[in-house]
Amino acid sequence: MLTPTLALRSLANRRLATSLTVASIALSVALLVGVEAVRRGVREGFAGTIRNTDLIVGARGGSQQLLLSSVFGIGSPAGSMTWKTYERWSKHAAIAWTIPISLGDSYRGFRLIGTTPEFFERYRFRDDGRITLASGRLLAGESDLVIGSMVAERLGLRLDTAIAVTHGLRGEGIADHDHHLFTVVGILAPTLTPVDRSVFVTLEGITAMHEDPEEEHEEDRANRKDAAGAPQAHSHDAEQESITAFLAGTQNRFESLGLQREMNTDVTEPLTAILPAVALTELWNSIAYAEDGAQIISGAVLLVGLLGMLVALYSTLEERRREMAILRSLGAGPRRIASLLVFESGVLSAAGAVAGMAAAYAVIIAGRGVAEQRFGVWIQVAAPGTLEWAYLIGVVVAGLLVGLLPAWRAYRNALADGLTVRL
Amino acid sequence: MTPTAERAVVFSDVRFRYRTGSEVLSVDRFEIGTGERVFLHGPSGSGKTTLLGLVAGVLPATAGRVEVLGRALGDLRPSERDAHRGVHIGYLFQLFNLIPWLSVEENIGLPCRLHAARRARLPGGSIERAVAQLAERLAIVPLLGQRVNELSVGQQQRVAAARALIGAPRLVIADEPTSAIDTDLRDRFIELLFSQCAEAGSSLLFVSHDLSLSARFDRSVSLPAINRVTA
Repeated sequence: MLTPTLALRSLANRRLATSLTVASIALSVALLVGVEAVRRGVREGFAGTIRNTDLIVGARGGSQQLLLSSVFGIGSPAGSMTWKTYERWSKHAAIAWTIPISLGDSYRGFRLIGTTPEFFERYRFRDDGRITLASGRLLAGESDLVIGSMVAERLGLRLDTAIAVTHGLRGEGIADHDHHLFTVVGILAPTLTPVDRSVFVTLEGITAMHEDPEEEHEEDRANRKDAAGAPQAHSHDAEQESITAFLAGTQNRFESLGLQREMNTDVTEPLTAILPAVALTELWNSIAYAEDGAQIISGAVLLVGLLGMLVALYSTLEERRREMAILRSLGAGPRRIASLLVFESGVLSAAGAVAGMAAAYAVIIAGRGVAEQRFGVWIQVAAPGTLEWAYLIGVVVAGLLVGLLPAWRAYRNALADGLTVRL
Repeated sequence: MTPTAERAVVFSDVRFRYRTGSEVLSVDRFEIGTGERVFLHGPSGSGKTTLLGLVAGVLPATAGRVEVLGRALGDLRPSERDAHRGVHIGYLFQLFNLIPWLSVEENIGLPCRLHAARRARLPGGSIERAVAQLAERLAIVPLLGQRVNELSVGQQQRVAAARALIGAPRLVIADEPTSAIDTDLRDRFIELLFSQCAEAGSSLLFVSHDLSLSARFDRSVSLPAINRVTA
């Protein structure tokens, strides 16, 4: 019990050096834990982009392509599927609900999603997050248009604004369908998902948009081929002939895998079905190498922090030879003197680790709102996990190991100096 | 042979050399009786520090037998020698005797906190009471609450004496404890040391190069006279 007391008193006596050392370790631990927490937070936020949907089904193509195009609005879909195929699957015994989506058009850089009003009811993100209206109402008629929060903010759109929608996915209207005007009837509340960057219309609206054959020209045809991959991507009939993809919920979640296989191997029309959770994880892993770099850097910073402690402790040894000799004269063995230094480094690193962890969480919790507003990134804050505790323990163990060096030096000094002190 | 139980310190044919050096000490016979006050003098370099290191059990004799308070130090493991010193010996340095990050009170009580056996020697086992009593006798009661670095050198030496004397150690070693304080304070300090050692029945080994002090001691030993290694 005496060693801890003595070590603490000694550290308290060197308050400035002690707090600077603790601060430098805390800073590096905060960085390490912070990078990890943000990484995990962003990953969980990312994984929660779409929930409750068991399957996403589109034309035969890559699963990442399907996920990116249908959920994130990135890239173009592999093709389309016939309405007949969609209807057939929606009547499948294992399926509880389906929501068709039709992609391929955009409004001033924001993608247009043709779907049914049920989309807003079924779509879930993160922990049971639901799409809600900030103002107005949801889709009803073919001229209705509902916009995500970012679309409203960036384009300064208000309710009742009448707009024409661009055909294809390019930014500005190469071929505006200005014969069919839509009216903004609803603005959605922020969800921090791609929904915020989307413009929603009904399937009928999509059909109506492409209705007038006079408006069709060569450029448009090529454009569509480009965007949807198949000339029949947009129907010219009043009847919906094809859609791009559909979201599906199963009767029983355990049937998802079997259903996926069934869809992927069906020969009537070649389809690709993905499990969103699995595909999101795959997508994350494919871009995860960037986070390794951040971790390597924070690991290096931690190393610097520990080396700082080593220097701080080591540099006190010379000036502390006198007090070591006094302790020796009082019957303290070289081992107790060494353990004093090991204990000091343990206290420094433990204090630094705890302070750093607290600081990291404080900053994340305080800065979460800013990240949300400025970058549209949702950081899920979770209680420290196994990894964080492992970091803490690792830092303390590393601190103790680092402390062994000055302790060994003090031990040697104690043996060599005995009761004499060379000042 | 004299029964060693009556001797606080017995050196028999003791040789000492540092690991890489030549012999620095060679003493055939050196003794301190129980309760005896011995004045040891010699010029610097005559091996005083080495001899004190041997008595304190910090340095192991290269050859021969060092017996302190009835224990042959050569038979003890280093940790046992440390404990032996902590429990039975009070040690005074020339200067900077106190640990700066402990209070005056904590400095005095430290030997009893380091060694339970030393604490057990206190009446009632109470460190607080023993510190208070010693402080009163050494006239340092007002200093107890002060910070170590606020004390004068003379005050520091009295606090250090209190720490050396707490728990009535059987042997007190003083390594030039008065060389940094002026004559008036020095005399009073030595008087205090004597009276406290007498009360506790402690033997005293006092090292100094100030020969004017030697007359006050029971016996005066010249180290160059007993050390066969000449500097």
